[in-house]
Amino acid sequence: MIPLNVSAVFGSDAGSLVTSLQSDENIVGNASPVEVLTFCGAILVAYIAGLFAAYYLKRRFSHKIRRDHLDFWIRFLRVLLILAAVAVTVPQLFDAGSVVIAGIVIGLIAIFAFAGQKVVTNLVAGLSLMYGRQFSAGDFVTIGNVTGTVISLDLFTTCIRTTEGVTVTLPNDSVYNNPISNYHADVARRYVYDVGIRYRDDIPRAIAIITGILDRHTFVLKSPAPEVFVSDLGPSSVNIRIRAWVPSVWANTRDDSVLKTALLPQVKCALAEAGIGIPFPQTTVWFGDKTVDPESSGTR
Amino acid sequence: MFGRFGEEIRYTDSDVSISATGSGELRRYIRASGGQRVEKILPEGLATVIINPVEPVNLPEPVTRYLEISFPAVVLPAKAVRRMYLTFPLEIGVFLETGGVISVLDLFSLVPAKYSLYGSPGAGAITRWHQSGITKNPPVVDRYRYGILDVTITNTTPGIVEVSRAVFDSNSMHLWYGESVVMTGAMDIYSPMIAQTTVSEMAPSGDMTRCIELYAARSIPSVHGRGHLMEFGVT
Repeated sequence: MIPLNVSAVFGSDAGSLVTSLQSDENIVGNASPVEVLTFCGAILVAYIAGLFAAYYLKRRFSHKIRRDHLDFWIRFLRVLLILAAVAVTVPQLFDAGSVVIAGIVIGLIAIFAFAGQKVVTNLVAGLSLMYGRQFSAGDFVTIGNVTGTVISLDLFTTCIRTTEGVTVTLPNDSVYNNPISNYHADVARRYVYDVGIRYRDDIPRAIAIITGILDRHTFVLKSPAPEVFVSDLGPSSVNIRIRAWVPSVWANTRDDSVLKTALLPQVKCALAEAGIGIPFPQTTVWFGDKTVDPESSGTR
Repeated sequence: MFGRFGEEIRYTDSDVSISATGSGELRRYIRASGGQRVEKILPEGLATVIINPVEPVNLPEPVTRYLEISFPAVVLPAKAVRRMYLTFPLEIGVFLETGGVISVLDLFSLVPAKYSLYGSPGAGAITRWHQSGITKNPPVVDRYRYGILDVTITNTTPGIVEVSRAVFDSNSMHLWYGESVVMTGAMDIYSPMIAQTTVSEMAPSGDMTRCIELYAARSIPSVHGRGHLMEFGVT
């Protein structure tokens, strides 16, 4: 049971309060009122100092550092200040020989050591991610099998909104231990599509038509220039590969299918208008008793 | 089409139709161009509609703040200074002024946009790209589609430099309109890889009106830049 001297703290007048504070009587364990008040005062001062530091840092760095990064470091600094206040004042309580305080501190350490191991791992992973700047809020990323826009990177967790509109919260530990693909790290991204045409079609003409469509598309970058070339002579078609660069900031706000739906129907229609067909998969079977030479039949 | 309009606006040509008509509570702003139609009810009371060209980097989406103008290669001898005229695409801003406060009402362009990458994907910048010709005198252009850039290129290097593109930062663009839309720029080449581009705030001539810039209308503070440092080459 904690021997608490209530009358010492809540004295009837200021004089008696000062007298009781200056007395050697213990109010928590064998800590004196002054030591307990010093502890509380230090926490309060650290809290207020944290508020001032946050105000100063926001004014000083808000236009230089991304907001989520700044918020993260401000939170971290405020936690550090509180911990520093505890670290400075708790030994005094220990000096006073307070068994109760010592018990609380040891208990907290035990909790951190056993139950809080994962929490500490997540905290360290969060700090590493923040320091490493692999991604920031607003970036479009794939972490493990989760793809979406980062909403926030906090001390312990990372929130991602997937393209389906689902918010996924990942522990920083798992984020740190998974491959991270950041589609926002560079200002441009490249998309690749394949289009098959018939063997009898005019390949240079098909390439010219596709190149024209890419040139007219607003978000297909002029430089690096899009590439259109024959990539494969397939069993049923001549495959033409399209490589096009687009601004990341544009592409990342959309599902990848948007560019596909913008480009491929245009390509298909333009090729069809020019009489260039996209073939069905087909197989020509030649029987041994036929006299026609398959090599000279000109089917391709 | 450009100017300040108090009570009513009615403008129609083959490409665009703009009107702000009506009385009392329902004064409507209607704009139709390029298959797009925008209709808005204007606020009650006295409101002035202002139409002028704006920095051409906002449409169809705000993807970049840089305008890149490509032009036929110009060879500049050492320490040479050359003045020439280029063109740039226009976007047209419609602003509403009520009680001294200016806000953006509409934004459109009659020129299709095209983007490009200046520099590398990792360190470069996306730009709004435009191909321009070069003329010794101000070219005649459709003033609702293209503006004229009066640019002075200075080769500060001790060698010959070939230049075929200029990148300007929209945060330091200042446009003026009269018979045509004009921007006065400068490009100082420090090496074949590095050049500084700036746009002058001074009026090209006395009879021109300064355009309201979008960043000013959107009350974005302290974005006036000192131009743009091109670090990835001038060709």
